[in-house]
Amino acid sequence: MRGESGPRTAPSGLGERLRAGWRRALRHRGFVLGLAITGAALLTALLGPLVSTRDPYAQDLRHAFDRPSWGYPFGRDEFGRDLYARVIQGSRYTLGMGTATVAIGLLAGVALGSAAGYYGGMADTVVMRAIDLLLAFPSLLLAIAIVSILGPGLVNLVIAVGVYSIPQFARLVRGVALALREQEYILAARAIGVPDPRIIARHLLPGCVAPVIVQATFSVAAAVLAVSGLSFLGLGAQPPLPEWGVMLSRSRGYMRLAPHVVVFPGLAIVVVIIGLNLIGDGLRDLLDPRLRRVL
Amino acid sequence: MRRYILARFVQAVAVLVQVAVLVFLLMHLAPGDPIELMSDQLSTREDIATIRASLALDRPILVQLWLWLSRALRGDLGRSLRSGLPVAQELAGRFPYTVVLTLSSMALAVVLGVTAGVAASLRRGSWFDTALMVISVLGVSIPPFWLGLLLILLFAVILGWLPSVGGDTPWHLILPALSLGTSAMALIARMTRSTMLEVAGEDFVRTARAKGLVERRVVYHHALRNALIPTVTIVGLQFGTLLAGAVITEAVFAWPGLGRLVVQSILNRDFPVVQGCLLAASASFIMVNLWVDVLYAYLDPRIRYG
Repeated sequence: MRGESGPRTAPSGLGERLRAGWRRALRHRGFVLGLAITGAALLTALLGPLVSTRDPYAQDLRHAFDRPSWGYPFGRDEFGRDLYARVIQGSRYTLGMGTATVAIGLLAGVALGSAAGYYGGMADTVVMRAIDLLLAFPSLLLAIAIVSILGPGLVNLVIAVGVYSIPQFARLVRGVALALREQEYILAARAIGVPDPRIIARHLLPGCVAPVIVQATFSVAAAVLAVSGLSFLGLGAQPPLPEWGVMLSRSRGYMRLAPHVVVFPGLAIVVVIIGLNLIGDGLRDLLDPRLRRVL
Repeated sequence: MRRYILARFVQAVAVLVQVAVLVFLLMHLAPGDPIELMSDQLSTREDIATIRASLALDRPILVQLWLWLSRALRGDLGRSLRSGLPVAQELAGRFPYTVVLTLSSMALAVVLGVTAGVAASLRRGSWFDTALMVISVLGVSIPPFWLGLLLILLFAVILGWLPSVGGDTPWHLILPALSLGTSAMALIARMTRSTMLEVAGEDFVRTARAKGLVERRVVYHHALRNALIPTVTIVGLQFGTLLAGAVITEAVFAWPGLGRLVVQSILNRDFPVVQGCLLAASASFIMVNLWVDVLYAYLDPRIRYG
């Protein structure tokens, strides 16, 4: 997406390429739709109090299970709380936790992957063995294992899901680093005595930007799923926080009585994930169609 | 081929041992003393010391690790801190349910996913193709636990066709398998469609057509067999996703499998049971991937001889 990849280009060329890329992106229907959905979700999370002025914690038992109406578009829950206000407030937790987990996975994964790929040898063997070991746990079970040690809770869940997303980034970056480290411009940098960390930061990592951005988009979607799923199990956010997974697990007992209590929080999760997945698919097509095989 | 399988087998066992060590170490890093938790009813310091000694918790960690590993190899995974039953016995009661759930959702995902993917690739650009792609984006984006709740709402509450919770009859399996298998189904359909389209342009497909084979044979015997190779990889990886997803799906449907056991045990800090569950799940994941690799080698001779 950014013009940083590859050798440096003149500023005018860079701007031109960015504009051309943007025009191409705007013609990709899925990408535009995903961008619109995710943008709306992010705005909602940021501007929450402006979108819904009601208190997401205020109870009114006389109006428990009220159906959706003009005043309460998503209806009310078992304590008579405004579901619309809770879903809006919940977007902060879900998107915040999703982004935080991926930030952990991305930073650790990129550091490990680039070191393994660039230095090779012993460093590579040690890092990749550790990564393979993490991957021997069936997907989310790794996060569940970590939560079981740290104990349930919001922060612990973020750490657990963050660790769970390290392997994807590490493997991806290592692959690119392996391919790049024999390139002439990197050999040249080494030959004139540029220190290794600087070579990695200035010459190696820019080559990873495209696949890492694509992976990060998919990872945020996966993290949102994981975070809400584990909160649903009682291993993450705890009530009365209006986190979407918690809301679903608390309200499911009443869904026969009032189906709207499970419909809206779930719908919110689906919409956010669709938005992110569409952006991911779009970016992959736009940045590098060859990635279809890997991501 | 035999040498390849043997090498992969040895590798799988090595990974399993490493996983066992990691699981053990993780559980011993955990803050919170399980004995303190157990000892609500116990009064004296001596009692606690006795229990600690009987569980070998007073020995150095490497000794504990060795004791645990050597017992685990003989099928002795310790006892639950809550129920006092052997962990192996607790697992044996629950594991079959999880296996049945995981395998049936996988079967559902493979059969429907491959069929839909092939059908869509044969009608590229048609309404069916477009509809399938839209459904598959939905399928990978919908949280299985929410899909489960909606399925209960529709088929159990509104229509009254199927039971909602429990695991007593085969009817109980339908909704959980459907909600767990949907995302894998969507992924497999997408993968099959795109690899079928890729393969359709290859020389060997053109040759098969040129020598006058009927279209059905070209599609199923020549194109599909090659297009399935990437799908097989997905199936192996998705098995792990399904196994872990079962933890959540079981909670939705009160399905009496490993998932509910592990969640309960985590909330109770019943470490031996958590350990056992993690080990059982990872072991089956490692075994499935071993089979997948063997199947892969069978489908793609380049791996066997490479």
